[in-house]
Amino acid sequence: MLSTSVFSETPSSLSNASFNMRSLNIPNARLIISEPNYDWKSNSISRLEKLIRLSLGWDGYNGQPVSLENAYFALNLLQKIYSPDVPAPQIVPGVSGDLQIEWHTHSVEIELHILAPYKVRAWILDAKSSPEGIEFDLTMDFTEVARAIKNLKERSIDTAAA
Amino acid sequence: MSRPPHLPDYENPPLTEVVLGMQFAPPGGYQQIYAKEVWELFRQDFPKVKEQPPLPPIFETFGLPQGPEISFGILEPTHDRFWFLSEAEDELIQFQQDRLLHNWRKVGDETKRYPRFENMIVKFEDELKRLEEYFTSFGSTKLEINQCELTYVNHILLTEKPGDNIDSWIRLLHLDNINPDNFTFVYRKIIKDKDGKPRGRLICESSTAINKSERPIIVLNITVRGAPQEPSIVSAINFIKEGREILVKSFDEITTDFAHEKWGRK
Repeated sequence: MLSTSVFSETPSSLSNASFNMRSLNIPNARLIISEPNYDWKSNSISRLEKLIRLSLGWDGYNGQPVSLENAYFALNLLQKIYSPDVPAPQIVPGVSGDLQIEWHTHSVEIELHILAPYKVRAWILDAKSSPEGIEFDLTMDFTEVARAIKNLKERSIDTAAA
Repeated sequence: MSRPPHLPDYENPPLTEVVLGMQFAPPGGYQQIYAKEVWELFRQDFPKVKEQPPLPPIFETFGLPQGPEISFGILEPTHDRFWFLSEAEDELIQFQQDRLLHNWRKVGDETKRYPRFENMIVKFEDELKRLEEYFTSFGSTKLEINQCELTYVNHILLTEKPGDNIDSWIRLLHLDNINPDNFTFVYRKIIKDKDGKPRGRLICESSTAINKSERPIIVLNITVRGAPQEPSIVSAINFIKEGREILVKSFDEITTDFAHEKWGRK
């Protein structure tokens, strides 16, 4: 990933000789010890790439493509709530550059409406704890959503066991 | 603006680059062809220009503690980034449709002293105001700042002297007699507000490298990044000022007493 630092983009200013310079030159990179993900990554990226390239009026009216900043925010959010063995979400475009990320199972439903970076409307229905569904606003802390995703996984295991 | 007296201070810190940055929603109506008009806002002090590939948007968000995060890859931004450089090329403004950054870097014979945060932040605030005024002049909205960043890049020169090891400088490392050829570490720490809610991150990265004089160095990058409480310039500048205190204190904690003595800790 590119950096805001100028030195890290000027190869002549630092030579890597025999040293491992990977993390120096890519300050925002994350060390991937294993590759735990399956569908989330490829599905989400390919879907978002498609949605940011929607043509103006894609819905037959004045629908705009998903904005690049909203697509990036969605990817960032997905990184924070990812849980192994949970199916990849559906990603649905809005008409104003916004988008929704959704999971629907028979016992847990989660919808995240990304209106703008740090402006997310969440709706979570859990047949056990909130059968009517609860709606709330989120900015940068997605802990509640991550818990709901874990519940979604556990409910799936319960259902499979039954 | 004066330096807070409680902050650690050094006579000769190993600082080689400082980055102040803001990310904002792309202003409505702005197109890349107007980039030259943005350059004109700063051209008197930054007469040189270079084109660079764009920086992708970046956001700090928070969830449950987890193992290594999966990297979700990169979508392609569309607007070029421009460097507007000072005559000496020791200061530059980086601009693209959703970013404004101000860098200071040690160049040339590397004797020129760091102009100090207090001077840089005043300049940067003025540059943000000029950009906002430009955007609003053709009917766009005020800057909607969604992310602030402050980065300090330090190059710590290692000598051939016996006992001058990596752990002489970096407190976090206790390498004893291992004497590794090289090392790399990254740690990230959540910055919380007074109510315990996350508001940003401190990111510390360090590794060994060779400088342009072919001498071994330790590179220590410390970044504070997060969203301002309000999307305004005032709120964003406050985030950077508070982040600076966190960053400087972290630098002091990460580095050793030996290092502090060498750098002339006041």
